[in-house]
Amino acid sequence: MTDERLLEQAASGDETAFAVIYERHRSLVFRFAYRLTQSRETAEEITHDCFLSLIKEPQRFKTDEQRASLRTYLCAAARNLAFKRLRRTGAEMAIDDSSELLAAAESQEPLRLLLDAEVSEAVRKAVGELPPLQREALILFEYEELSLTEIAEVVGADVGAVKSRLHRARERLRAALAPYFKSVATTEKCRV
Amino acid sequence: MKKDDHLNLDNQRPGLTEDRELNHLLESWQTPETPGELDQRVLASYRSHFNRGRSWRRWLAGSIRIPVPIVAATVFMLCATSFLAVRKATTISIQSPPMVTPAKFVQIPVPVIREKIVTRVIRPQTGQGSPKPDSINPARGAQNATQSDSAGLANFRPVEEITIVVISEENRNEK
Repeated sequence: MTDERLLEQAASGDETAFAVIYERHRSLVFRFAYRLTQSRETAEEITHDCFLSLIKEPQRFKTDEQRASLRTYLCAAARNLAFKRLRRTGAEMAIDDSSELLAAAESQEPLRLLLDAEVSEAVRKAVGELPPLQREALILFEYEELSLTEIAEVVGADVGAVKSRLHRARERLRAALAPYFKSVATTEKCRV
Repeated sequence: MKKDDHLNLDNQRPGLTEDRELNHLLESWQTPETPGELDQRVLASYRSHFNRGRSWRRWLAGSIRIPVPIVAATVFMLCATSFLAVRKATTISIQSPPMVTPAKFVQIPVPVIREKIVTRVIRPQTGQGSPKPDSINPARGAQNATQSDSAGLANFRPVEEITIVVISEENRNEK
């Protein structure tokens, strides 16, 4: 069943239809919100508000003919909510999960896991330091695997602008993560 | 790779996909799983949203179950009542309206007859001091009657009510 049909049923009170929509898209929305804000609590709030607004105002998705899919609509909603929170908190979001990741890696003992956790933390930090527009383009492209056209729809820009943001984001990341390139390559060789 | 596929479809700059090392680094950043309590929260919010809206929605889009016989009887009664009402209205419209003549007032002068009240005192005949009645002298009586008829009875009209006062002799003398 299509998302549109499910949404109609969910908006008229069909909980099962809503559950199906939620199951399909919750991970995408949560991951995207988490990577944008780098806070689990904020990502949860955004995901919650995102789906609830979809039920409260389903006509906003229906009337928006530019939207290719519910996926891009939800990403756009999550993006708006995340930016609203970023503006409110002055772009200083809590980084509350890095210690948890490191602790988890340490508890799993081997050196490789510790190194992975460190690299992961460095990537998280580097992505978090990107300007918001570059960050969202990179997350949607690299992690959520949206096409450039879909990203352009989500962020409300043309494809050329999205390409440009992606290019600059990758350049920044290359510079920020340069020390880890060799170590990653070494780890890969060790694994092989 | 899927990523490379949609890059090619969108005429992406090739340099973006060639950076394998960076891609590998980026993949190392994992996100936590969607927490279970979030699922519960979202579903609870969904339920509360619809429970809140249910009270007024019930008035707008609510439905009740009515047995078919009751519906049939109600429909039959409605039809019968409507038919009778229409029929009655038709009968009334066929009847000619009653003729109503407007009241006409005419003034007719009526002569008013004023009655005259004549009071006569009749005294009983007595032997002394009183004039002799005409019966004693019939000729004179007839003459007097003729005179009185010709003189005074022309406009005479008898009174409707005669009051007779009898005065006895004794009382007369006393007076």
